[in-house]
Amino acid sequence: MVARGMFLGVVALLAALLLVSATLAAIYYQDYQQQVSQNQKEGEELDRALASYATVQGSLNSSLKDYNTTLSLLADSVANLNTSTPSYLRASGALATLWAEYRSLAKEQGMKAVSLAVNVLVDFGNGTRRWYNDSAAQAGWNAYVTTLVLLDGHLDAVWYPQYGEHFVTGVAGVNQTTTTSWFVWVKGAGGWAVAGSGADGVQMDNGTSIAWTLCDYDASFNPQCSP
Amino acid sequence: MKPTAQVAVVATFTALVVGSDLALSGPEFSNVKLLDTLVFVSAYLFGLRVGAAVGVLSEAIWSFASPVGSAGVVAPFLVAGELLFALAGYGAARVWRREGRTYPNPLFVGALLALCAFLWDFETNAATAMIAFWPGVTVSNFLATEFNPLTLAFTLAHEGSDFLFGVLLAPTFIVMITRARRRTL
Repeated sequence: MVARGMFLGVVALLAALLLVSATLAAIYYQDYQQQVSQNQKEGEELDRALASYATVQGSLNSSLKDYNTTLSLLADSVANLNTSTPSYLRASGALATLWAEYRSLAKEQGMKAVSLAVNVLVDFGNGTRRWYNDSAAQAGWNAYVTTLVLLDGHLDAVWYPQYGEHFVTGVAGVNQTTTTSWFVWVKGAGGWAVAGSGADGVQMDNGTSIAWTLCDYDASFNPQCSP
Repeated sequence: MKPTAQVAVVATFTALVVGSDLALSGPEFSNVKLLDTLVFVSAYLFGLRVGAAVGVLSEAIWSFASPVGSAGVVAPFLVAGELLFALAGYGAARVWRREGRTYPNPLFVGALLALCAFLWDFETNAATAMIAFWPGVTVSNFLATEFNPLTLAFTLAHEGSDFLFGVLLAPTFIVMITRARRRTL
């Protein structure tokens, strides 16, 4: 009798355990199904977000390209404006900031800004020499625009539309005098040579080195110093 | 000369000027142009009106269609300066014909074109100084804009090329066109 009672007790216990585990299994299964459904929804949302991200990324890349083109057009405009006009003064000052922002944005996006590495020397003629090595310039810029950007617009000049050239009268706040003038030089295989046609005629290329020197000159306007 | 023929001559010379300006627009030909020579030749052969029309039209077109960029407010001064070459051509023709000669002395034409080029540069650089420094133009910034290393280089190129074209090309054009006209008339 004791053995039968124990047997029935064990059976009842097992039945109860079965009931409990079946109930838990049903609850967990329901939770699992809910979780799967939730995962599917989140997966779909993630796919949509990734598609949106790709679209935004594409738009950003396209905007950066447009930014680059706009900068190029702005540089062209600055190079062809009368230097005393308000438009020139505003644009020449903003060009350096816009160029730096473009390069920073391009870097953040993992894009390589399309630029040239150039070297610019400014020799103030009093022993002070300032080098701008490995500086970034946009393809198509000439020596005038490159210097204007590197010096944050601190370049004084007179625009001669009939020659398509600027005559630079001041660099980085240091102006020419009655006996001195700013000369632009280009470094070639034979060393430094004065740019005969002025800064606008010097097209910048990768590795191009130019120099600005404040020099005395002779009666034929030949510079009496070199970089 | 009939008005229609005048228009044809002006159009032909203007096309030649603008085409040659474009061909010589590279940096290696800074300030070297056939414009002055052709304006001089047109005025020499066809009179002041035709020469002036060629000068005004071609310089006006080039002032706004140049690949270097628009000349902007200095354009009227560039155009006015070109009239010097028309006046020189017309004056040279009158002097030469009065002396009973058909063809001018090449050296005289070269010197005349070089002188006109100097005056053109002086006038346009004066306008540049006025535009750049207005209303604060001073004698010192006027002189600095007129005479500096940049203007010297461009002025020498302009005067030198005009002298050479005046010696070599202008008399050749005058002889060729005069003979062609005689054959067709």
